[in-house]
Amino acid sequence: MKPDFFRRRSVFAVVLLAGAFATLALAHNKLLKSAPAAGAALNASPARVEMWFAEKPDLTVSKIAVKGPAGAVETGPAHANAETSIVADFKGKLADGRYIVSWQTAGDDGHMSKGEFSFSVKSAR
Amino acid sequence: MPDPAVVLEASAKALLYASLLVGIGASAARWLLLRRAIAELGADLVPAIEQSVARIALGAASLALAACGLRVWTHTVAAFGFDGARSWDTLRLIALHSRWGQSWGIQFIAALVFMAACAATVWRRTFWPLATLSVVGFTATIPLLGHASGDTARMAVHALHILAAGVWLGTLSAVLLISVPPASFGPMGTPLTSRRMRLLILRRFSPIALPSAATVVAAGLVASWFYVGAVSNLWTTAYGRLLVLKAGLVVGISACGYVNWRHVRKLHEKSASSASIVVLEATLAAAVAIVTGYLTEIGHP
Repeated sequence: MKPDFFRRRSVFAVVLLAGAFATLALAHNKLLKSAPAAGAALNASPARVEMWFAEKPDLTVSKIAVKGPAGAVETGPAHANAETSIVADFKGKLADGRYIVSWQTAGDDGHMSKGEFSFSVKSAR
Repeated sequence: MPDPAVVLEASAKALLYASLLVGIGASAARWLLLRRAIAELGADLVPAIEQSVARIALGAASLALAACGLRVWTHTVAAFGFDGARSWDTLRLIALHSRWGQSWGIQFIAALVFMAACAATVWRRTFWPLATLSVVGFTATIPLLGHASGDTARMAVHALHILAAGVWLGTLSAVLLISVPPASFGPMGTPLTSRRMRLLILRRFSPIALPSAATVVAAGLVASWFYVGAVSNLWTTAYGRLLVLKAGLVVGISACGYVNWRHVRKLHEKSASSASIVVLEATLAAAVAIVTGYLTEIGHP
């Protein structure tokens, strides 16, 4: 048997072995869900906004900012609630209107993930 | 319009990759290439070339260390904006207290060791094994930051990809950068010039270039499998399109390498076209480093 035969097989085996270790690829830390949910129409003011991510968020770079009809809404600092979530408490009741939540965090790869979503409040009178 | 913070982070990473490849290439040239060319270059000239290669390694290590430092600032810009990155406190927060910073610290120390080892090698050639070990060690820390982090298989493939690229394209770049004093060429009348010296060295390059290029491609294919997911992502996502661009550049480099190999085999002293092809090859390699910098900073599918 030619030595090349073994060489070719070895290369094939190495590529195959490397491939066998393949795991599902993940992008930057992804937002999985939030409360209030994106697009939600609430009939009462929420006390906080919480977001759950695919990976544990790095709190040192995590930020949550909320903008309402009257401008920036005062919130406490973003902090951890569960293993993979960050939360910010509202310092007062939200008036009726549309609110935009802007967030930033990072996951295992260190890359910044940024995004925004909105919800609205329409209190029952 | 790309996010300026991503452009900055990618640029710092491209600088890191380019300098690291040359650093790896300097070691590969020392251990794998110069020994093969001793007979043609002459034993008197080799020490001068080796000293030049050590200086190239030191320059590459210094640039890599600078790129590591720059990355703290660019990452702080990404997290806190340009205004936030002016504050020493935020820079310190990112470098010392963020999760990214923990891995960065390891990488920075590895870059420092790499630079110290290269400086020692410029001083005494007996430190070459240390310089080589330190560049391999530094390379192993690169996947700690980025898409591969936290996954042993992905990190191993990433490190192998960089090492092989360094042996291939870094060695080529290091040979282009070799500069020896005219006196090293020996007594007057010796028919050896800088160009011929480089051609003589490059003539021995193909047995090193072929396996390392094959390893680059194999590791790149495995990494693509990790990150791209569906084949359609190659044209429907920014990550996929950049990857296709990178693959195109690598094909261009391979074509240059083939043409150059044919020229160098004939070894014409006045072969200006051969020199320009090698320069084109190195320029394409620099373009690959830039594209890779972006590729490793943007989100994959």
